[in-house]
Amino acid sequence: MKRFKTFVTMGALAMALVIPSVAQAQTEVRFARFFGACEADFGTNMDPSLPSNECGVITTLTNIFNEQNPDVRVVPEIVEWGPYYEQLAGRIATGDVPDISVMHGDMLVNFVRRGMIAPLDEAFVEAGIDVEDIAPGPRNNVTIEGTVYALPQDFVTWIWHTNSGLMTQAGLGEASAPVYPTSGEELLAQARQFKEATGLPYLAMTLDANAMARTLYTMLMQSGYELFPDSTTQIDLHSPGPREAFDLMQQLVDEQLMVISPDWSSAYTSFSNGEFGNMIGGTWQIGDLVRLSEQTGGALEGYVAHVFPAINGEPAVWSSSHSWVMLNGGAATPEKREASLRFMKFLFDNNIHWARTGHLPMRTSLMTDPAFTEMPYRIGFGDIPPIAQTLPKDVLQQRIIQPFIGEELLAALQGQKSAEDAFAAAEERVNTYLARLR
Amino acid sequence: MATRKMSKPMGEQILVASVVILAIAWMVPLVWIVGLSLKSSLELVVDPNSVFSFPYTLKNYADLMVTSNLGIWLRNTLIVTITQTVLVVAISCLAGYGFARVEFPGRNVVFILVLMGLAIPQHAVIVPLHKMFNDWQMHNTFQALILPGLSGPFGVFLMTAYFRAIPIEIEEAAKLDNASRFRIFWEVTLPLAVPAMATLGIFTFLSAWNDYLWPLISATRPDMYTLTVGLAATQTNIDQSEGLGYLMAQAVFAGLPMLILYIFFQKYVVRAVAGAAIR
Repeated sequence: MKRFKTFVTMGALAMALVIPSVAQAQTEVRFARFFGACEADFGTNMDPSLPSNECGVITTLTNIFNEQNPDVRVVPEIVEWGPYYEQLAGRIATGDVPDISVMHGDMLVNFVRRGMIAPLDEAFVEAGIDVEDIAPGPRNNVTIEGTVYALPQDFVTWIWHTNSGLMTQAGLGEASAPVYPTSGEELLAQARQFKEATGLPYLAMTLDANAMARTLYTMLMQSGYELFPDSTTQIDLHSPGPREAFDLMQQLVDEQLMVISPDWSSAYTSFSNGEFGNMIGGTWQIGDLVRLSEQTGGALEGYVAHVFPAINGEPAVWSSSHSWVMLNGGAATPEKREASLRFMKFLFDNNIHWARTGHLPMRTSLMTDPAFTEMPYRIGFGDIPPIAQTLPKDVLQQRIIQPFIGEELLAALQGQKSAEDAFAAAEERVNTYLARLR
Repeated sequence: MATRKMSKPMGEQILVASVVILAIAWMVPLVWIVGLSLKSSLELVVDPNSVFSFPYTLKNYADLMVTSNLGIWLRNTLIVTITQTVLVVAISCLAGYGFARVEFPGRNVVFILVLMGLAIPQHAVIVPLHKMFNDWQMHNTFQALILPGLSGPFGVFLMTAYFRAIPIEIEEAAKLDNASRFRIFWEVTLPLAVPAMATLGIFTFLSAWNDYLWPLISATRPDMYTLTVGLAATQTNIDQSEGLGYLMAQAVFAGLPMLILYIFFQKYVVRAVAGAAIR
């Protein structure tokens, strides 16, 4: 018995010496991101075809990378969306810098201007990432003054979610192939036809300031309007263009052809119950709505997603990107840097799986790949890259000024203030804020 | 001999009925939250009113248990909350007794300075606090999570007021027996302050348990997240358009310790609040 105890003790001691040394052989990559935590469903998943939401896909890809690279351990550091950038700024200030961080394309310039992000041109060559295969739009999003500062992950863009069953009922196309307007007049005509046939609103938007702003951006991009004609710190919302776009939306609301849902939750509920024909939203919602359509069926059968129709001019749509950056101060050792770039290369190689969330892939080669083009529920997504536009990159704090515009216009849309007052207030808020930035 | 039932006065009956109605009104949201937590998130998207119908499920709670870091977040929160509570009560009792019983030069001035802390919100000092702990390289430590919460003017104020209300004659008897100041405090006065200590302890526990802002910016490593930060990070959809059942399960789970604590200590809270009111 005594000998047995000695054996067990020596064995435990030996393991205690060995295991840490094995663990130490792994290089840890600290991976700061939002997209949520979904260990319950995908914590051990290795099949990238299973998830259809951002959380599931990125969790699965991380799992696969960790398994394929036993010398590296990518550790997700997950923060909720809202305070992500505030926490990231705090981490940079304290020197607790992650090795890889997610960043929206329209936030990149704010960090680049402060020298917080490492250029990645040479790093991509080092990692074997084919920069030429990155589509022009996302590549432009992450290129500032000729230098690439991030690896883009996708196109994020503005779309209509459509209940093609209801559209068919209204004589506006066929199941999974609805007809979309190509002008303001057509929009009104179709909307009236839809309401007459179904008794339901044609279109819905959410009481979300960002949604309102992105809708306005898209309509102005379609008309070729310059929001920042003279300087990137002075927005122009007083010229006729914005008011004309807004008036079209106001008319839809006045004729009860468009409804405004209190929040996304109620919008999803109403859409899934067939209470309107189209819902204005973003590509990140496709995965959730596909799941909703497939698993609940019923009134949401025939769900499709289509780029925001050209109702205010030529085809164009607001867009952005998610991207991965390496902040200065992170990946401080050669091993961490190599491991981080290896993970980025992995994400680049597996970009097609990200497209299942609803976002467009960022690689040109994938735009014509059947794996993408034959993804269901998407109409005409291959046509989006050439028409996707962004605000001028040098406009700082775009995610801050966006809700300024949206809040004011939503107030006008709901009759809480006049359109003139709303546009004046939005312009004043944006310009005052931008003028104070240093 | 039959006992005659005494009927309650009308006013008292109305009061009781009003309290019952208010209690039901307060309970309805809580019951609703529990109901939502027992429903499939997908079902709630399609029909939020399905909370009132079968089937119910424990899947949301099962998913919560499987969330890999939940145990770590709970551990961190318990460490921070319990330590902070014990230390705040201890410091407040000592400081409160000092202000109530010990004569020293500038006592009133110091007391006023302490009370001025009540007027300063957390958000006003968060930046210098963050920088201070950064200079000391203490972020992502339990000390950084606990120390800022120890500066509690409310606790000092509460205990000072309570100690002042305790008759001095009780202590004078012990003084006659040559008991030291600390011994009088520890054996005579402190036991009488248990209701106030319980109240302070509960408030401090609640505040520390629910603290979000400071842990968010100080604990940036996932293994140092507290429950509030960790649960917030599990939000899987930026629009919060789904996952309602899971979100409510999180809310129930996060609030359960508070509920249990209150159930065990409510008599102290009521006694302390009522006693303070009478005085």
